[in-house]
Amino acid sequence: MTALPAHLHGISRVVVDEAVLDTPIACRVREKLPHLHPEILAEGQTLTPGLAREDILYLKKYRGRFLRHCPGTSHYRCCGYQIIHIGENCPLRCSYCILQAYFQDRVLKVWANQDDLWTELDQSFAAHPGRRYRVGTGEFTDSLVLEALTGFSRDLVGFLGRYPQVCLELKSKVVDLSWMDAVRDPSRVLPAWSMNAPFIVDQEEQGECASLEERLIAARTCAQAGFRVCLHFDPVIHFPGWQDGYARTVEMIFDHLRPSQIAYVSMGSFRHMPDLKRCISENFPQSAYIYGEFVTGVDGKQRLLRPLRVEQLRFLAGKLQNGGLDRQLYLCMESDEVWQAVLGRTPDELGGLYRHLMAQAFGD
Amino acid sequence: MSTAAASSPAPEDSRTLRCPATHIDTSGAWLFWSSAPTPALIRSLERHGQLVPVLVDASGPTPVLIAGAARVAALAAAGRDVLCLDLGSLDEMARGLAHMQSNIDRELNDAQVVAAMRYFRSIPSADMSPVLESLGLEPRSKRLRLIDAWLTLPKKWDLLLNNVPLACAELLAGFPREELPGLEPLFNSLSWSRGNAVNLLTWLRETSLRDGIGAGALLEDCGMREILESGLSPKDVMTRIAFEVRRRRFPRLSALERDFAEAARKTSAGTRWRMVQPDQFESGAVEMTVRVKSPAELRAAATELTLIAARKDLASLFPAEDS
Ligand code: SF4
Repeated sequence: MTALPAHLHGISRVVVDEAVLDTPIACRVREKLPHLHPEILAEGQTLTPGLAREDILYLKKYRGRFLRHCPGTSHYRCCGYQIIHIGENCPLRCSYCILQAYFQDRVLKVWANQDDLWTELDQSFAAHPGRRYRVGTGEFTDSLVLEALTGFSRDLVGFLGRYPQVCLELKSKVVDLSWMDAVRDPSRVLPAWSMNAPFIVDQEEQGECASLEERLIAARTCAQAGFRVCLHFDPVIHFPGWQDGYARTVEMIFDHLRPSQIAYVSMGSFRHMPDLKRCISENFPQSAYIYGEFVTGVDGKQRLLRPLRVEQLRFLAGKLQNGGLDRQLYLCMESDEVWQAVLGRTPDELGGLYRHLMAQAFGD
Repeated sequence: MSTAAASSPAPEDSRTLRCPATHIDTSGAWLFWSSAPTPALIRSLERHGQLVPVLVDASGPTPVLIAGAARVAALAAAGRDVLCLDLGSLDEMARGLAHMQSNIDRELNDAQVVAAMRYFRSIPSADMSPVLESLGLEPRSKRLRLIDAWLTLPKKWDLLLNNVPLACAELLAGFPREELPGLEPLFNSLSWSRGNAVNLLTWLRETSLRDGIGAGALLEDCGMREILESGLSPKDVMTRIAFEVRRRRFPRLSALERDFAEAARKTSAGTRWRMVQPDQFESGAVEMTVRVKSPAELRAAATELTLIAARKDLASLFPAEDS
């Protein structure tokens, strides 16, 4: 058994739907976790996680749609990418993570019926052969956090190699590059890492996340192998000393990467529904940033007061621009007014955010 | 005697007795709803005598009062004997239940429900189901959650329950215990509405957590003492305290609101136009409204609008544009 990364050490149970018992993913998990005897759920049975405070890995036969639209909002500019749904939940513990409001248990679900996924993707992509897709897996889980057990992303990049019109983003806070050698065309895979101020990484990204330095070294490795990488400043958090913190992170980025190696960089101010605030205050009582000056945005979410947010995003964008990034920069879920105030242009001036990011992703 | 027996109206072995009021032990913690005799009760006892016996447990050397404290107090003041109904030997739980049952036809306020719950929750391994049923509390209800949160506060806070809405219980319970005395002046003489109290305590708690300062010190910083001693009406005192605490919680927003109000006042002075900032500066928009009752007023409003539009200081209405 090869040593598993620390973020997977907390898995205490493996549960498998009978229907996916012989799938490649189930076989790999058995091989990687030989000491955990899988519990098998017959058709119709459901998993009862109880009050377990340890992670349960659940290999499930998923029956919903795998390819979905990103749940943007109509009031703010959304980046319009699509999600390939590969599973739910994450063993890392970022205080700001939305997943804690969605999932109260610690069940790490993996959709192990990959054949159904391949079939659906084949049908979707074949139905619109001329259309380009920007897709990602990091919406309801971290793209790579379970990779050492499941090899899911490796399978996915292998499968998508057949579809040059699809660009896949793998967004993560861990370092796992085991999928790299399965990639047919590096220009169609965008490894992506979350960036934040060092203080936020230390204090708010609990669990066994990779350090900023480790993420950037991994990004450089990818860049040297011909990939362009993505960086996500989301959430940008308002805390005392944020200027120094974000400036330091930008410095670190340019210590490791050249602007041309970066496909795009997103910036999104911390925003939340009231439920998430309650979860954070209960689960992470030291996280005082939730008591910043938040007001209700037009989409009903709490957002940092606009002038504060503009000030912060403008500062960060300025630092990134000084380092040589320009058209790669975009804002998550912001209005045209905020775009204008931060980046001096609106998405329309870039030809629309959807099209712009598509072009950035495909390296047009 | 068992708890179950005590909850039935009149146990088989009950009997009446008469004794001087001063002989009755009225110190029981189960007398959680007892109150002083009203003038009407005193008058009735004087004119008609005691028509209904008080409830006692006479199994020990002195009768122990279970219910009827007001009558005992009034009869004691009049130097008269008390007619008692002996319920027999009751444990703590049964005494509390009997006290509750004999008063259950009252309209219960939050303070009374809390008093009863504080008594029963203090009895180790008490079966709470008859208590909850009598008090009309659903086992998993929000109201019960609030009451249980309230019970974590020091007992003296029960006296403030008329001024602090029960809805604040969880918020108050979230403050470190040593900070509670700092909050008491807020509620000693001011009776807060539910919404205002919840907002105030939320702002205080959040600012306290964010700035690492105790709630009492925060209130002092906000000038609570001066406001309380300012001679303003209670309503104005509460408005002022809430304003100051909110300003501390949202300093930048408050400054923007203040500046906008000033700019709007200047810009619309002498006109019938009203200007408001509709969404806490999120959209940067200003809403302007006018109310007219005739074509002439409409024309006048249009002229006023033209004058407003010609002003040189309109930028001050749009602060977010130039953050
Ligand atoms: S890595 Fe992502 S998915 Fe995992 S806890 Fe952190 S924010 Fe949530």
